[in-house]
Amino acid sequence: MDTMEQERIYTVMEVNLLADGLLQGLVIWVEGEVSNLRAYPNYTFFSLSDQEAVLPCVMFREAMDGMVFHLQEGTRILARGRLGIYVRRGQFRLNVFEAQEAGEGRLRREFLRLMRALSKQGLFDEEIKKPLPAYPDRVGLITSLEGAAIRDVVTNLARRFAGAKLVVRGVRVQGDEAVGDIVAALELFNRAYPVDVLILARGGGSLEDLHPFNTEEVVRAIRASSIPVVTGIGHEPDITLSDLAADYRASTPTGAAEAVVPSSREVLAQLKESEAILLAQTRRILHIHERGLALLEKRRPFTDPTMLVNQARQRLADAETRLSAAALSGIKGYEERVNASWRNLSRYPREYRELPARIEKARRDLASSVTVWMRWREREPALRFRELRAAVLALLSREENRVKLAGSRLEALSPLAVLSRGYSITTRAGEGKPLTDSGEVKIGERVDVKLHRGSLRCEVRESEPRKNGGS
Amino acid sequence: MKELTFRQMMGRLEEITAALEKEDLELEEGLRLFEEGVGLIREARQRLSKASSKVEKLLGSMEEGLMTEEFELEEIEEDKDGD
Repeated sequence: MDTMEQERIYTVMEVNLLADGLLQGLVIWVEGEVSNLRAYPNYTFFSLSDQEAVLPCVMFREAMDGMVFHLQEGTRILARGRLGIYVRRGQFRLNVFEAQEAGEGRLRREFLRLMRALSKQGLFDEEIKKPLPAYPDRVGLITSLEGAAIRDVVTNLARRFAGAKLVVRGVRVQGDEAVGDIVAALELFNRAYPVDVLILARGGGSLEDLHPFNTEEVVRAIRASSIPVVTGIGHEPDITLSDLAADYRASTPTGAAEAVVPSSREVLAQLKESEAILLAQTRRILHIHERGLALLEKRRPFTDPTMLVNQARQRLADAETRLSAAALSGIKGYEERVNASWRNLSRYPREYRELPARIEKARRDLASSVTVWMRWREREPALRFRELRAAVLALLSREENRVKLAGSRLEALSPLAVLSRGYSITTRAGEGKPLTDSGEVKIGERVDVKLHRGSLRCEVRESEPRKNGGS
Repeated sequence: MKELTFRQMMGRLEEITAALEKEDLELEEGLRLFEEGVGLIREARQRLSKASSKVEKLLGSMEEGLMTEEFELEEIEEDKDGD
């Protein structure tokens, strides 16, 4: 019975469940090529194969949604999944929940990931790129000493421009050691062997061959270089992260050589242009000086030397005329002012004498006005006393100002002001009209001389007739 | 006086042409600049007419010291053609 118990008969479902149970929990990575791809809305079937075997796979929608690339017939992938049995059909399969591209595809994905990350850090920004020198004296070249790249750079550089010296540092450009070699060479030039510009070159190759140029280490070393770096890596369509980080990217080693030095033909053309400018400008300068000399020669001092003497003579004569005219008009001015003062004095004395009486009258008028007002105010007590007082005071001060003004005007007009400067007025004794001509008095006649302070009674002893222009 | 590099010569030439374009240049200064400029152009042409640029190989390391030796293109001409 034991054997019967042991040799129990399983249902088909039980067998499949048992097999599935034995596999359960086994999660593995497997690499293979995708084939027999069938996609449905909620799951995708495919097979992974290599040269020796085929493995059926299923991928459910949740896993598909998390994938960053599309499964395609023929792509080589790395898949992670759980081994199991589809019990209804008894099918052995891998339930894939994660897949990546393998080989070249994987490298490309890694390339894109790193490119995005470094780009976000600003390592490829255009603004930080250094300009290349127009005429480098020393060019550094980092490349393999073997291969076409170095030959392309050397021959093109030499052919294009003989003004520069090229210094080559040999490095490995492929394999695990390449990254360290390239980084060290960049540092070597920067720290110990300064050149004006650096070329980083390599011939074309697969993504895997170019891998050292796609590493973060090399990218950072290029950016850290204070010497401008020009890349010439691979062929036209190849682009590496080193190219993106470089200050200038040439698509080939030949292009890099052409980028760092000008062509001799261009430089010769430029030299010719410089020569033409030099000649033209020097001719212009000569011409300017020649013309200046010619103009100078035509000037009168050179054509008529006596002109200078004549000019000086004329200026002297003019000065003499101006001097005597000034003296005359000054004296005349004084005479006129004395006469005018006298005239004013004879016109105003009446008014002057009357002034004190007028002031007195103004005061009396004012007093009577105030008296009138006082009386009036007794009858009109409602009037505002303060306002009236202010009005009366204003009236009074206006009146006083008028008196003062009349006095000062009289003072200004008085010939006394002229006398204070040393002039005097001479009159025939006892008369008021001032004498202006020596001929008006005879010898022996008496005259009064009025000074600033006091006056003199005098007798004429001699008389001189008027002289021309004198006083 | 140290020999000017090609870049220094081109830079000086640019300075000279700019100076000559000034309005109030003394005659003597103008002629002196002209002479210097013509000399630089002659020298630059001579250098460009040399057969080719010099190529050197940089050897050694920062720790052990650096040295250069002349690099002959023939060394690589022997290599197989290709990329």
